[in-house]
Amino acid sequence: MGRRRLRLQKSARSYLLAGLVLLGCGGFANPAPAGDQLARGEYLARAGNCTSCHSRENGRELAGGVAFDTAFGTLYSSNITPDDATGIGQWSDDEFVRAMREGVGRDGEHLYPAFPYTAYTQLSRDDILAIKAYLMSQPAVEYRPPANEMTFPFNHRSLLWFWKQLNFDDARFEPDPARSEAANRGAYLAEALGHCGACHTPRNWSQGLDTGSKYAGAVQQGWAAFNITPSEDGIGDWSDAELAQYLHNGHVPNKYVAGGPMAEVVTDSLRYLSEADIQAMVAYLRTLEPRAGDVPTVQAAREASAAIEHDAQAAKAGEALFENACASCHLPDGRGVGGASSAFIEHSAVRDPRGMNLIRVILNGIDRTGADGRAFMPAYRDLLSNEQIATLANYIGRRHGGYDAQFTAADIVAARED
Amino acid sequence: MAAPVMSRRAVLQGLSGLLIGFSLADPSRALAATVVRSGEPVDDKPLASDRIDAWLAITEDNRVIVYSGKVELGTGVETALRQIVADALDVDFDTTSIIQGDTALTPDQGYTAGSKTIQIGGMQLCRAARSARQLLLRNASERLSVPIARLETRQGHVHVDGNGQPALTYSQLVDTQVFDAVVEAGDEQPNPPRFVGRSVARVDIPDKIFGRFAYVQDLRVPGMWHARVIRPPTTGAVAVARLEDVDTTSIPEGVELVRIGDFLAVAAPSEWQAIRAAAALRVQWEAKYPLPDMDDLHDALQAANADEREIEARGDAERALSEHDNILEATYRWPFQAHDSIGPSCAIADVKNDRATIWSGTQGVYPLRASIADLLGMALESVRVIYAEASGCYGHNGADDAAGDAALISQSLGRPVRVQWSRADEHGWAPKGPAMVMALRGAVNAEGRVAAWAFRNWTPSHLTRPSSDAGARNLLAGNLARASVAQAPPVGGDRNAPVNYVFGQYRVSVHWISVEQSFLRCSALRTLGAIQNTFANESFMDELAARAKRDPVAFRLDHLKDPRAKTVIERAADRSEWIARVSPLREVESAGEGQRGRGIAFACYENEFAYVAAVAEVEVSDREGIRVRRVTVAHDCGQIVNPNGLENQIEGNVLQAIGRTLKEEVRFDPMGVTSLEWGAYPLLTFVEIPEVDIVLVDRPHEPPVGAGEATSAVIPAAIVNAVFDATGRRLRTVPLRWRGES
Amino acid sequence: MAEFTLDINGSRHTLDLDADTPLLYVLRNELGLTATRFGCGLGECGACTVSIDGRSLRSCQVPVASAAGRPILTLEGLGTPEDPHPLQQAFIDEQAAQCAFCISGMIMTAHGLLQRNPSPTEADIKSALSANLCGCGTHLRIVRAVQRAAKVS
Repeated sequence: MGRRRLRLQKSARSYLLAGLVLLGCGGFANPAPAGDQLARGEYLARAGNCTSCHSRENGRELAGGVAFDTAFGTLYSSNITPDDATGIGQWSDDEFVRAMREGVGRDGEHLYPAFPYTAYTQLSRDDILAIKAYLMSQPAVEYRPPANEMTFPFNHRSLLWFWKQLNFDDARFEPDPARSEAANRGAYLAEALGHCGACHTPRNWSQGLDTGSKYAGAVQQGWAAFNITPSEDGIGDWSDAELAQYLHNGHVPNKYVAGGPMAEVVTDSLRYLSEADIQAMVAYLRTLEPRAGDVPTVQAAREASAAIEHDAQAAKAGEALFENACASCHLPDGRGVGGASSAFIEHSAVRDPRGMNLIRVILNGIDRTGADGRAFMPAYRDLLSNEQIATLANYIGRRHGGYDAQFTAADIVAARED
Repeated sequence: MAAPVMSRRAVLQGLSGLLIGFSLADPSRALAATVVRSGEPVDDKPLASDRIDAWLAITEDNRVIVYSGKVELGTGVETALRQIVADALDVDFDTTSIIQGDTALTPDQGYTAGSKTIQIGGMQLCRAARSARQLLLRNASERLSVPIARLETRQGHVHVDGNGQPALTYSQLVDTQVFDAVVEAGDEQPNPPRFVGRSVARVDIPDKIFGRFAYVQDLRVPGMWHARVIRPPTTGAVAVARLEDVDTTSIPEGVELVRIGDFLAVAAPSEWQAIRAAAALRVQWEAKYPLPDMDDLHDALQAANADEREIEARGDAERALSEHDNILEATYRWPFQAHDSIGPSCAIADVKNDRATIWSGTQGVYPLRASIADLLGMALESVRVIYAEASGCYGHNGADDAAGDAALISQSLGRPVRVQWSRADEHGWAPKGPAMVMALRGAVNAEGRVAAWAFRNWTPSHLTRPSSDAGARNLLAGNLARASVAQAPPVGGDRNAPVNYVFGQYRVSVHWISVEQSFLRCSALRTLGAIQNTFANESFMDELAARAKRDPVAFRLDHLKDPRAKTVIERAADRSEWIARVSPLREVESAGEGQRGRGIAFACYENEFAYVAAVAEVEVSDREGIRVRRVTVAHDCGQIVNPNGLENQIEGNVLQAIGRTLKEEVRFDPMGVTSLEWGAYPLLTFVEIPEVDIVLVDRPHEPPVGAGEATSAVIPAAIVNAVFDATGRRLRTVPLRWRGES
Repeated sequence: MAEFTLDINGSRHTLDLDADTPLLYVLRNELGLTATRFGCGLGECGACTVSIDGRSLRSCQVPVASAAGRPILTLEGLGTPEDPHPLQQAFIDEQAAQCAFCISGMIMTAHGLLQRNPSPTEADIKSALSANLCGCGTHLRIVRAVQRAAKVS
């Protein structure tokens, strides 16, 4: 997510009220454009989540300019509004299809794969043109994103030709006859549109997706995207209902909570999907090969937790801070009051000894809208000091996460920069 | 339901005794003042400010009622005003009490704002009280047939020939028509002050500490419903969203909907019911983007179509600059800032066919009455606005707008209505302190003195308060119900644009930006434009000192003639153990583990009132950014009424201004404000506060001038000057950022 | 609607309420205990802090159903002018208030701190209060008041 802070949902903006989850946020979405192709295009554009990467904090929708820090420099997403000069207003259908399928820009240049054409290449031409029709129906915004700041030699796009040879397969989606119809629909949604792998699949040495570890979890833009294969430290022990609820709403009461980039995916994409499509994604995730991830299971964390020696002084400071800043919503025992503030040990972010998501959620808070309403946790980056956030993260990690957390103020400073 | 009652304030203030008062010939009328807070009608209470009985009354048990149009905003003026009256009338402090801000009872003293409560309001009361004392003496002289020269007053009594036994109490002297009199000018302080100059404990604090004080948020009236306003999806200086449709199936049972133009509200018997109904209501708005990109804010302000008006000039600064080949230019930027009252605005309105009563935390009951009368289509005299203290406000926050909301809803429903703004209402919709751009050009000569100085700024108006001129236009409810735009006379942006330094070649001008080009709805926030302009002026003074390779303290003193100005700078420098230096002490690329530095700034508020100098000591590190470690303030506001209260105000100014300098910035996207809660609009926290050391310069023979905001003006520049001293980096955009762009 | 019994400042109150009603609105509107203040409704500012089971919690975030049956203390139950709590006396002695809207929450948070840590350092006090917001800039006096109360009690 680069340097972007989590965006506040406009539809829900006026309703920042008591409680974490509000049912039925006020405000309608813009009325659906007339015509089947437009309606379908909107649905597909939501499923493909154009918004999260192409809408800057405090910028206009789809006008681009979001910064992505990569190993090779900083990239900025492009303007995909129908502005003639700075957007896609002048793009022909074929040019648009070529960009989506081949990762080639209007002037024939290779596109950096932060744009997930490795996924979109699987889309049908009809679907791509429906997305285009929807984008063309949106307000044109004149805005030119900053130029990319790639380091040498990666500022030479010709290198991308080699990258594509290694990491890119220009091929359409084919249903797998061994899978159910629902699982195939789910595969199309997850692979071709939702590009789940862009975050959840680790990268190889050339920053291509390591298909041998598909969906086993990875780190993107400072956030851990956890293991979503059906293994015991993945989603193996989640029920279908829980998975569906998580995808659609962003939380399962007293268990799981989506924060960070996943909260954006729920807000900008998944909450708009039909019940049937959510079920299809669940069905597809069940067919994945189980793999080992990075985060101890709840059981392992519970056992480890008992063995941790607590420094009384640090625990006291942590407890005081926790009571003051966290306990009112999460309650003193960390079991939560239901709704989106849930039992801490169930969260991968809390059990993950790297602590990256825990620290980032404290820094950035959560502002997520799911199909069932809005969830909000304040961003503490300017409400607490680096020392205090380290103290809190250590307290939570030791008390609930089952690991001997030793974060320092310097770790918090580093996490702020992401 | 156990609800605090409206009359509690009056009872607590000991107003239960019979009021006989100056010229209140009919005691039954005076008695009405004991039920003031209940909103019962009061007729014929004299209000004209040239009459003593507009300001003062004396009860049968010889207590003094003070009627003040200036109100307690949490700054301690209720105590200070009583100190002034007690001395001027020569009564015991404990026998005084105050009735504040009520269009049926108190004279019109405009707004409680601009640090003018003591300076102007206090002096009005002082004159009234001194005139009253003269009247009492004259009356006693007649009554006792003793010449005035043989009479004296002592603590509410008149004595003859210095006799220890009082001949008469004040209350015995005010039961005739004789006291129906006008305020006279002049008259010296009768006796040495007994209360002014002392740290009398604030009278309002104990009730607040024991949870017995009723803020406007705590008032309840019988039959009252709770309402919430549903705001459009966009926020801007001009409303651009239109209410298209409300899904009536989304209105819960027992909840009433109010819709007038684009003004939309729900009301219910219980508060939680109203909150839930507001959240659940499905509304369709038609909106367009009201705002440009936040990154373009300051460029857009400078590009606004705004006339330039010259404020002050000496010599020909432009020509002097054109003749100089080494001129310094710098542009300073200030963001939109919010009022950040901890308690969101609240009001209660009870609008009946023939009269309306409004309880509000407004800073001006009379101007608000005028705007509400227009909003409701009622005659001015049919509307009564009663002040009830709210959470601390630092200017024109949402208090007036909430009152407008409540009035409109109450009129529509025909029952009393309480409107409590949400946190997002307050952060998103209360008027903002304006963003501004200040551009300076200057030069120093070979003698190390300023050869020329040219200041220009670009500013929206700092004043869109309610008024009789603006009527309903300056209430949000009016904007929404009638699709109107606020009226904004050019006020505030020029405050402290001029400097008190004496420069031969000097020009100051202001570009006034219209409401339509102001991005967000702006109005008064503590200091109006003085904090922005002083930030620029005192930063630039430091830049010129550095250019001249002069010590910043000596450089300032060299350009000042006014001894009071020099004194505060010298006292601040002395107390902080300032060591003469040429800033920067060092120039570093990276601040590493920490670099310390000091900076000074000076201002004379509005160029003629309080003198303030501040020395800030900062520590800059790459990890923690900028931390203010210590602030020394030297402060001269003439005669000091209450030293402890004054220090409280100065401390508050220092801390709040540090927050404004380092943290506070209203953020917005093209739809409107996005910083709608404290995480996105952070305040200074306890772990960030510095030591504060205050030097009070008391001048008992100078008139007391305002101290409520002057100190805020100097803090930002003191901090950036200290950062420059520590690191050699000159920050010109607030909030200051050490990492990233600056 | 359901029936809840609340134990507040030593008195029991039985009320018919929606289970999700935040304790804040019950205190203020049903019981007239208005010292507990609405500041943000998001648990960010601390103005609504009360003590529940000895812990300082933000009543805007605590549903009445979770608070029922547990001992609740509000500012009104802490002390009276005749018999002030040391914290209340210390806030008066230090004149630690400007508008004072945040002060109920400050005192209730400090109360929780002093119960856990009767002799806190200045740093302890600042850290414990740091998630309570004050807009007027009364922080210095509030810290001094808590220090004074700690010495007395």
